[in-house]
Amino acid sequence: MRIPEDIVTRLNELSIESVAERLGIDVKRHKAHCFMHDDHSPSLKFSTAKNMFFCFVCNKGGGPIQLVMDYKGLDFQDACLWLAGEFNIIIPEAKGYVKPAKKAVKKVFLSKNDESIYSLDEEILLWLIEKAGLSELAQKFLFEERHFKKDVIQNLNIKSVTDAKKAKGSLLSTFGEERCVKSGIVRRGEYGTYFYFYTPCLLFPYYEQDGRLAGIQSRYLGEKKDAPRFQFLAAQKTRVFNLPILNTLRRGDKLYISEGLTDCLALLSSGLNAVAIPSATIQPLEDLVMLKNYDLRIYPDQDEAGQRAFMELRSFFVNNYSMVKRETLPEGFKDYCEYYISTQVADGEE
Amino acid sequence: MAKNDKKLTVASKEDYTFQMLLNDIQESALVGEEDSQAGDKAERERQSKLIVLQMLIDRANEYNDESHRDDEKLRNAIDVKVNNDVYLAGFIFYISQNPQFDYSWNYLRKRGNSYKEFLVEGIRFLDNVLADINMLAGKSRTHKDVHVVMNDIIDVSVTGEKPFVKACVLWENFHRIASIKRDYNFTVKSKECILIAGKRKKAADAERLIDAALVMLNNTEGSTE
Repeated sequence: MRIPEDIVTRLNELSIESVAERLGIDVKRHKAHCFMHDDHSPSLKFSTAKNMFFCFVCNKGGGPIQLVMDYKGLDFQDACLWLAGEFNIIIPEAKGYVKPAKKAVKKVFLSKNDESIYSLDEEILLWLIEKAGLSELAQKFLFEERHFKKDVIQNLNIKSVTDAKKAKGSLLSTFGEERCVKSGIVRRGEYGTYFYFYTPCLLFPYYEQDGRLAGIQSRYLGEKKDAPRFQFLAAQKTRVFNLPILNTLRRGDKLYISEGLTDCLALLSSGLNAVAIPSATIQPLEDLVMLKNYDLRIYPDQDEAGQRAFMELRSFFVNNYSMVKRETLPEGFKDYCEYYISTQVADGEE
Repeated sequence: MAKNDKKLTVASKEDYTFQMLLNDIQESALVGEEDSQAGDKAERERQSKLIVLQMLIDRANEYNDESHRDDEKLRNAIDVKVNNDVYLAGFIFYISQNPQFDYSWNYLRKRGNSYKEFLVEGIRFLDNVLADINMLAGKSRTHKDVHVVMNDIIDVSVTGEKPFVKACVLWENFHRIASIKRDYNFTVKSKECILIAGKRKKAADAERLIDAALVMLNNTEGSTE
């Protein structure tokens, strides 16, 4: 079957990032981990201006159709049909078309990079959080630089890992290599296994409202410039941070939604009720809908992404018969955390 | 917030955008909520009204590009979206099975066509509203009491700060949305006083009405000095 020219044009006009998201690629700030090579720092770039993707390591890129071909291992026609099916674009000749089964993906590092091979292992993550402490570096960052309250950090069970080799060794000796690799906390690379999170790092556990562990996010504290600042385990879904706080709230209580964890910690340290979405571009809607009965507030970050995220969140809550109110930061502060730190520094000086 | 929805464009110039319009309308709903004396029902209805307006503004923004300037192309795009909305199709079936609707599945399905036309006209209405707001912002920055009411639904006032205009919804006239058309009544007011009113069929009509109102205001100010 020949795909008509105008359909090919329309498919290639689909937003490259929307296509990537539909494929399950985790795009953050126009970047993602490359699925074609063993990628530790995101080297897959998305240009929204050119509507193309490109990996600087693989020296490979293209438009939306090419992305589907490369990611799913499909030929041109099947990639077009898959895209058309996903984005409700009707191809006259394709009536009754059945989506092709996923073919073997032409990836060099399939065993390492196919995210679907990972599954969340709550026991391993609980063990890691329980065994981890809070290093001097972590304490300096949390309490001296950011001025977060100690009880907040303690209640949220925030921990740190300094020595990746030691962490990996303990995990492997306790749970075995296969299980650790399957959980995604340990990965296999060219030179053997490695601890997934860049270290030294903080570990932020994400809990379900009922207290079950839903995942971990890391925050890199080192000085490597090419290391990602934040990492999530591939096996976990993106969630709202600090859901258990809902157990302490009543309908109509004030609840702040922050963009990112540091703002959330600053809000909590200020004595406010707060949850966080992982970033301006990651909005876990099925968790967010659980917040609709509270008096929702946001201090939007003073940048374009922050304003956009605020508008998207407010529109989402309007559709769910709720409303988010905008709170305004004093002039000169780009986000709530920066404002919070300034208040703490001022208090300290007094 | 469908994944393939085009994101609302964040203002990069001085132009008033659909994002600003949506923001103003959401803010005006909040003000209305605080002022509301009518209780829960009015609040619930305002939320539902806001959802409809938000849907229309999002769609107007989504199709605000060259490829959808042509009505036929816009109709086709809406056709594809509505026809492929499986939740909507399921909902139409579901409510038609209510005896109060006299098992009117066929009727409701046929109403789908006029719903699509409602979307097309609603989008064109908002395109025109946005053009008129930008025109107003460029013309009247000195007469702070001037405001323009479009189709008795959207009230745009002049402000002293960028973007120099602010829109709100006259919620009590919301029902007029159902019969909205791209041509609409255009009323220029100074406070509560109507300066001039007319039918807006094209951008030049709106400009003519605003110019006439500004001349009136300037003459009045001149004669009182």
